[in-house]
Order: sequence, then structure tokens, then C-alpha cells
Amino acid sequence: MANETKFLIDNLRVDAELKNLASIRRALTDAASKSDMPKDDIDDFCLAADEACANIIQHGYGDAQGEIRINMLLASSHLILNLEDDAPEFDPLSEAKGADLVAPLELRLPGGLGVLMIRQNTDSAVYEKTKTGGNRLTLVKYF
Amino acid sequence: MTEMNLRISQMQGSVPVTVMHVSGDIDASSHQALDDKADELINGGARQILLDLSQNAYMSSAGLRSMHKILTSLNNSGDDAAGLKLLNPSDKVKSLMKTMGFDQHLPVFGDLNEALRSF
Repeated sequence: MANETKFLIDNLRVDAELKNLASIRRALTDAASKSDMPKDDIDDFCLAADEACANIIQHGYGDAQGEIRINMLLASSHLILNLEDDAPEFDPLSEAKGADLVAPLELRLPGGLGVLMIRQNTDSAVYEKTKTGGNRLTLVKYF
Repeated sequence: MTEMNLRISQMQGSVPVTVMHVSGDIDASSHQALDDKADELINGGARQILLDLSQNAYMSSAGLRSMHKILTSLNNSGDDAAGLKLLNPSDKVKSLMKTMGFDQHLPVFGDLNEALRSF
């Protein structure tokens, strides 16, 4: 029997505003719950997505208005999440400073944590520019 | 996924302790209210802060940055006794702190009275 890939979220468009992060998390969690992915892994995957969306909103769009288009697909053994936006070229996986996990907390720079959390909670995170000049981030997590 | 709410109480350990009770989610949107309230408290003289996360189920890196910011402000207050401690973070948050290396620097307590006595 051929393995099918099906949409759990098909082109959900959300205004790129921080206040929408909670509803994005809710939509992703509800959709991912239709798969066999264990709850803890779903939580981790949604955390990664939350970090990515926050980066898109804050650093991709900045003060500009825009939207994030979200697709989630269920494959045989993994979830695929696509986050697309029309911000100027911006890779949500890049941050100016890496996370410093060694220096005493009070000396550490606060940047870099979001990207680290995306990478820690996914099996794959890939950025690409879209044909229309926007950005697409694809996150994959196996179960 | 619930909206973040903050409640502040003043409790007494060996010294007065300001307890910030956080319920709901701390994310890139809601952390600002936490930062602002902490600034207000520290500017008003609070030096021993206990962040009560008993009702906080979700925290992104924004929450970790808020904790970092609060700790930095307290360290910059000039008071050697100033400090930030945590009460009942969820297992997810504890795991996050461990992954990010924060667990070595922010004392965590499971009991309020024990936390208050530790200041």
C-alpha cells in the first residue's frame, strides 16, 4: 500500500503579529495531535515552530505588516511544517550572535536561544528563498 | 495555551521577598508584561525576587530571556544580596533550562517556604 502524505494544515494564513503566536501554537498542536506523534514530541515541535514564527515576525517583518502561511503535512513517520512569509530575505535560522551556554548566566548574551531551540526540537530545519522572493522554513520531526 | 497573568505578593523569609506569580504562557508576545513588571518592582526597591511558575505551563526562549534580564537587573542593583530564584517550574521548563544551561545559575525550589527561607 502506498504511503500517503496528507495535509493536517492546508494554507493557514495568519497575520504576522506576536499576539497571534498563541493561536498558531494551538492550531499546530491540534493538527499534530491527529498524528501518532507522542504529546511530548508535539510540544517540542510546536515550541520550535513558535520560535521560528517569533523570529519571522520580529526580525523578518520587523515593523512591517505581513502574514505567515502555514502548512503541516503528515507523512508516514514524520511531520513536515512549512512556514512561508513575504518579508525581505531573512533566514529565521540565522541570528547575529550564537547562544553562549558556558559563561555565567549574568554575563551571557540573551540572543541565539531561539535558533538553538529550533534545532534542538526538530530533526531538520531548512531555509530557502521562494520563487516570489519570500522565505520558506521547513521543519521536520520524526516519530 | 492560556493568556499570561501576573500577580505580585510580598512574603517574608529571612528577608522580605517579592513573589511574582506567573500563570499562563510566556512567549515572545507576553514576556514584555513580565519584563515591565519586574523593572517596576526592581526600580521600586525589590532585590529578592521569587518567580513562581507553578501555574506556568509554556515558556519559549522569550521567558528565558526575561529571567536573564531580571537577573542582570538585580546584579546591577549594587546589592550583593539581590537574587532571583524559581518556584515550581514545569518539567518542560526545567528541561529547557537544562538544555540552555540556565539550570546552573537559577536556583529552583519545589516548596514555597523552602524557597522563601533560602533568601
